[in-house]
Amino acid sequence: MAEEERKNWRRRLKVPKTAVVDEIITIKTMAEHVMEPGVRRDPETGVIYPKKIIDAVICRFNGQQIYRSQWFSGVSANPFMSFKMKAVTSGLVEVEWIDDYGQSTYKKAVLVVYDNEGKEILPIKIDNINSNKDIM
Amino acid sequence: MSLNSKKYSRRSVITFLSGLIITVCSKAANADFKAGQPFRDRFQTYRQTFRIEPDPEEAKRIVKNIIKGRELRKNLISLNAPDIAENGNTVPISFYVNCSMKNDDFPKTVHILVLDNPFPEIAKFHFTPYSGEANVSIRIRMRTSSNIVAIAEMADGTVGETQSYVDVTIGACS
Repeated sequence: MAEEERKNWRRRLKVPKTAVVDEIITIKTMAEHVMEPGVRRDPETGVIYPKKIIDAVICRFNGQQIYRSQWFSGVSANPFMSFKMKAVTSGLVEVEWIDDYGQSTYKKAVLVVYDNEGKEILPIKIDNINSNKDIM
Repeated sequence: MSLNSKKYSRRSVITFLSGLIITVCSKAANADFKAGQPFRDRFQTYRQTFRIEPDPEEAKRIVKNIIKGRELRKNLISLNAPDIAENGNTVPISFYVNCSMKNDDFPKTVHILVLDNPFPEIAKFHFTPYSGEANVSIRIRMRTSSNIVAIAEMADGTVGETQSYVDVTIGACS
């Protein structure tokens, strides 16, 4: 039983490590979850298994929501989903799965974006590096 | 005024009525439970825990409510689904919305419906201009061979729709 419960919490996220600016990258997500639709019966006792599905999947880039999907009971068990994202700056990609019961799990990955000359594009712009010395 | 008289005090009337209600309700619940009716939890109102038969009228009504009589834009959305699916539990589908993701030209929501499922709505997808391309692939459940409908609602109010028929050999239980 404990193993079955643990299975519902396993998540996978695949994001390419590097990308060129303005490239469109694919993000692949997979959640190990039973996705019980709430209509199946136990063949012996006839008791209905209660509904337990993943409701929402949210993708954030540097804290800003870029993509959201809302699922109902028609999505298959161990749901796989892949979607696209435009690489603008390097940053943090977070994907969050929210359960029927309000439990949420998330995975994160780091994306590094280079411009055409091979320099990394940082999410924060620092004009004068020496200005930091005054603070230190 | 008769209720306020000493013969029937308010307390006695209330206790009698509440006791009657409790006995009737408990007897009804016991009869339901003995007849094999499903156990009803407190989330029953919005949590689906019983089986219902597919209703094509319901699916048509949902599609009508999404489109709301707007004109359909041609070649807006394309759906990629297999012709024959051996297992109805996992049917891989993908869609692509043909638009430039700039200013108002991006899909706000994309709906996916299977018309002959008991619960026709399967998923909704919400995009922003930061998601560079509206191209998503997922796996869904299908009970019988039926039409899959994909509807794209753009941010400027236009609508596009496609359908594709999938043959299912072994249906899923949803």
